[in-house]
Amino acid sequence: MDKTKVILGPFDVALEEPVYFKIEPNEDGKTIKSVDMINGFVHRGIESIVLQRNFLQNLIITEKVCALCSNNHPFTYCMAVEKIANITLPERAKYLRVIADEIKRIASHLFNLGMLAHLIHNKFLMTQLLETREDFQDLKEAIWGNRMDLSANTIGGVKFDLDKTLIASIKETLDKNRSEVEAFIALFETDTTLINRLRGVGTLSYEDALKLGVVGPVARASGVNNDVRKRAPYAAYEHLSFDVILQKDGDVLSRAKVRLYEILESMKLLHQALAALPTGDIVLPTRTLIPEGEATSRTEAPRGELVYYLKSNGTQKPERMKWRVPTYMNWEALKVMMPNNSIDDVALIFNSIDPCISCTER
Amino acid sequence: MKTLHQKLNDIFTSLKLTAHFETKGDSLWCDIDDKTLLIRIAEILQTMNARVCMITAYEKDDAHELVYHFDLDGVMTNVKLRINDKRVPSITPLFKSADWTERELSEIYGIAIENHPNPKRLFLDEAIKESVLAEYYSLSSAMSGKVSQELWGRVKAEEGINRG
Repeated sequence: MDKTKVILGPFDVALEEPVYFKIEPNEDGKTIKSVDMINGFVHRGIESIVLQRNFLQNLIITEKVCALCSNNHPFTYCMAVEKIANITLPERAKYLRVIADEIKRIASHLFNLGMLAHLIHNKFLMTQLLETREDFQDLKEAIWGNRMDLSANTIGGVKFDLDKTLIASIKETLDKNRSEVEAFIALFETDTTLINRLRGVGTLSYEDALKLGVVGPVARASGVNNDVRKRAPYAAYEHLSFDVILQKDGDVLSRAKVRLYEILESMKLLHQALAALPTGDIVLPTRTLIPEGEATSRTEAPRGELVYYLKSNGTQKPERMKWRVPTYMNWEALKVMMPNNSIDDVALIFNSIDPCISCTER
Repeated sequence: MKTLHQKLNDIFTSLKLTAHFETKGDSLWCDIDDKTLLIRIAEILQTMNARVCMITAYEKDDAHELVYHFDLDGVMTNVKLRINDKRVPSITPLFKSADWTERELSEIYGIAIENHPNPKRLFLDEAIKESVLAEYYSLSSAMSGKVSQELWGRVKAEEGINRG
């Protein structure tokens, strides 16, 4: 008889994006022996498209690469352009960029945790997590007029400003939800049913995490500190204090805990940034022509390190522009995380790397 | 970054390698055109616990340039290699983190990656020819998930082979 293979896909087993798993089970037919993945279902050739647009038009394209990290793409892209043009940003803009990014991070982490609750069929927890996220979605809508694509960044600064009312509503949202997040943390630290379900699932060791070069919460859950905000500070991060959350077990539970504790760190960062928000311009008054040059830039997106490379030739279109998203590095780690886990847990493990496929394939 | 810069250049001098790093902004850059030198540098970086962030390729005057972006202790360390023959040795045996990015530049620019442990296509379907960055493909034919009579035909044909 043929060896049985389990096929999952080509749709995302956790979200609505396409991925295709070929799973070879062990003799017992219940656990995974090896897994192979086929990618490329949403490859759109965006790296070619950006070469046909000018630097300002590309702000819009980069924002559309992905919904959940939609702020980090234009953010990192702007940083690369600013490096080539040798632009120094107004101080207020640097802080506003941090504020936009941290609000986005909180909402993104809560979404991933909501999906985790959904996949373990804990509908009540899912509702609570997504309701908490909803407050941050409303906040985004109030500040930027949009719930996903903020359009916060522009070359030489930001496109939004915060007045007293908005600052008050950010603080109010943070205060209102802090205790909720702490309650979630208590649940993930003490609830035996939840812990037994998630502990030891999809383990990635410290050594493997280093070898594979994984990034973001996936790396930090295995004890590897790759947080770009600390390792190579940008915007206003060097003036703000926060802790990098590290866990050592490298399983689905650790990844969830890293995200939960990071929400508290983001709240800490937001309070500091709001308190220290300098006065002054939010964007440089003149438009800059982009000279010939090349630069790399990177930021810590909710899913991990996002890297951009930009090469310009003196015209107003890039000569080459390339970026690498966090999921690109974390995906290959699934081949290490999955073997010897139950086939039922494929979606749970997949969700724990917080996959973004439209980002990865571009 | 200054000490790291000095350290790398000292290692290169002591090993008599004809390369050196320069500081540009907040990162280090090194230009080379020798493939064996690339492997030597990669070996040195590997012993220093670097990781591959990304590799960028692009065409430059009928040749290709490949920029290897390493993270070395939080500093972006870039090695730019110029190649004329569309062939380059793989650094994946040294850095597992280079696996995907090498396969991607291979399918987009048609550059052969020698000695890659898993030289399969990454995103593009086998039916699409290599080196496609500048060409126009309609979205439905570029995505390997295209659902059409043709795809169904291929599924049926494969099923036929599997069942003899």
